[in-house]
Amino acid sequence: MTFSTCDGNGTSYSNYVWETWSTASTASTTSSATSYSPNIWKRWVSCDPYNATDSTTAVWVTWIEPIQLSGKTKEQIDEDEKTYEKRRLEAEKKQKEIEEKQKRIEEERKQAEIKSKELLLDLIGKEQTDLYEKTGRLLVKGNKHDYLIKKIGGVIKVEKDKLSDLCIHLENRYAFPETDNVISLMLLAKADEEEFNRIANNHGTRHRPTDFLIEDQLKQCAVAQ
Amino acid sequence: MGEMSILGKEGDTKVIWDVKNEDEVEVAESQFDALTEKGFLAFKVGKKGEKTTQIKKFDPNLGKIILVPKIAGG
Repeated sequence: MTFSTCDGNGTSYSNYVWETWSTASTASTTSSATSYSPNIWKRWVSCDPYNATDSTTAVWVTWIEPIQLSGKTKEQIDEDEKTYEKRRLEAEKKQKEIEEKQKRIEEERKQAEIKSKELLLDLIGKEQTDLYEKTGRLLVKGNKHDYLIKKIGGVIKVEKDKLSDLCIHLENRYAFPETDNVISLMLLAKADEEEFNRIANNHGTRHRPTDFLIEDQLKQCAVAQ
Repeated sequence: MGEMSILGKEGDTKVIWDVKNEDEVEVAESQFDALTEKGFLAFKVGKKGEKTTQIKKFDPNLGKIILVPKIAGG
């Protein structure tokens, strides 16, 4: 950067004045400027228009001062960085452990679900189990009504002209394989339909569409006889 | 032979006994009692076509029993 100025009588001239100048100026003035530079006034040459010439060089060529941020010394900052890095590595390790644990849990759940489907196979046979796997729905024919049990949760009570959404499940059901929930509801609906309806909460009843679960649509769910 | 399937978080656990073996029957019965006291429901399931029934008391001659955890409304 070159800075030069001229008055009516003489000329002042300087190279490398304010090598770095950060400014937030307004209009053509620098009155509101702020400046920061490690190299302030590297060289200053001035000229007195009335008398002799003064010249000086190497004024504040370098400003050395320990870096301070938030009142901390460089050593403290280095120490902070070490602590940060240590914590970052610890967090990374913990994250990996969590991911591995989740994978393990996921694998255990898969295995549990396989066992659960084997039990269902014992109870309703291969054809219906295949249909259940395909549709995720199992129809239980009760003494009074039918019940469409969904693998993902929820039961539709099927009456002659209406459908009701029932909420009934194993306590803490998400801890169990989905099919265990289905098996449990199937057993209770078959063995004690009254108790099944007593426990279940009815979340709404609606008109049964005429094409809901008519014979040719029974392939849309497995049937537990 | 009798068989009891207990539903659990890792799928079902099977307990098998020989009706003529008193020790095996006793072990199965004590598990049955402990779980039903906790709120498990017990069902006797038969072969295809046979009716499923809820049972309150252990009987080694029932064949296949399934114990399911407590069921609740939501």
